[in-house]
Amino acid sequence: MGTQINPDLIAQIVAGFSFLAFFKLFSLVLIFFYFIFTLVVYRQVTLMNQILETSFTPLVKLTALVQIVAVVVLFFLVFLLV
Amino acid sequence: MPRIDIDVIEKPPEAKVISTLDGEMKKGSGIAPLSAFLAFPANVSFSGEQSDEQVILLMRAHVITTVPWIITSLIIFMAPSFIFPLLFKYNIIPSLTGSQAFCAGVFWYLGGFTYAFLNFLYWFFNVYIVTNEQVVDVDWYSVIYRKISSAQISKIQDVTSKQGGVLAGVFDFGDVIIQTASELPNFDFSKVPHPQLVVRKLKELMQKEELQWERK
Repeated sequence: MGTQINPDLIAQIVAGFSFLAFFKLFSLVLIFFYFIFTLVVYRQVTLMNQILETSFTPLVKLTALVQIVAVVVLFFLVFLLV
Repeated sequence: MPRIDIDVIEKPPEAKVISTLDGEMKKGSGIAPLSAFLAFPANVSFSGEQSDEQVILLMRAHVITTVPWIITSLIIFMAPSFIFPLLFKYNIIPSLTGSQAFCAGVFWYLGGFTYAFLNFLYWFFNVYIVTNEQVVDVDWYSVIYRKISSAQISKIQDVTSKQGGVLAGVFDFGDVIIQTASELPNFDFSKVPHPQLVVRKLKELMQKEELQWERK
């Protein structure tokens, strides 16, 4: 005998899933992809610093790192406050 | 015996030209490290540089080309103060609670910062380098796509500069097109400051290479 899907259970889940929860989930997924993007940017900045080294390049690398941290903070802010 | 007055002995003409050109380049050089035109820059090295190689010019697109994205960034940063209150007032976007507004604000400003930072990176790392041995073109088109080209000075066949438009005339920037005999036939130094100086310096380096070949 196979398992049967309970339509009442599905209706309860859908009814309890408010627009705000959906918006929060969407935001968290978006911020996660934003986080991946900042990691890629940091990696590319590191590679470009190897190609061109000036006195300013450490500051550029630090800025890319700060951006990653800021996105992580934003993720937790949305998770906890929204 | 005629008297020779040592004070009036003139310098050879070739030395005068070189010092004038280098002097003009240094005069047109900006303040490191965020300048678009750096002559004989200190503390600059690049991948593939030889130990006895000297960086003569480090160039980027003229600073005036960064104005559009700087203005856009300023609009992005000022929008929450001026535009959003109007959008809330006329219910174009629904009102948010305090914590939601805070998170939305952080997200907005962080997005604006990322936009400005990326544009800065594209400007900062798109460089054109002229050394006493080679020319190097570093092109960073997008986050995941870049191209680095180089050619020996001895392979350069022709150098041309192009300058057109009101802004280019006022701020003295333009394109320097270098034709080479290498795998990449053309180098295009786009919107660099003082293109005439760049052309003159490249021609001087080409002449030096020719003289070295002739002596051999």
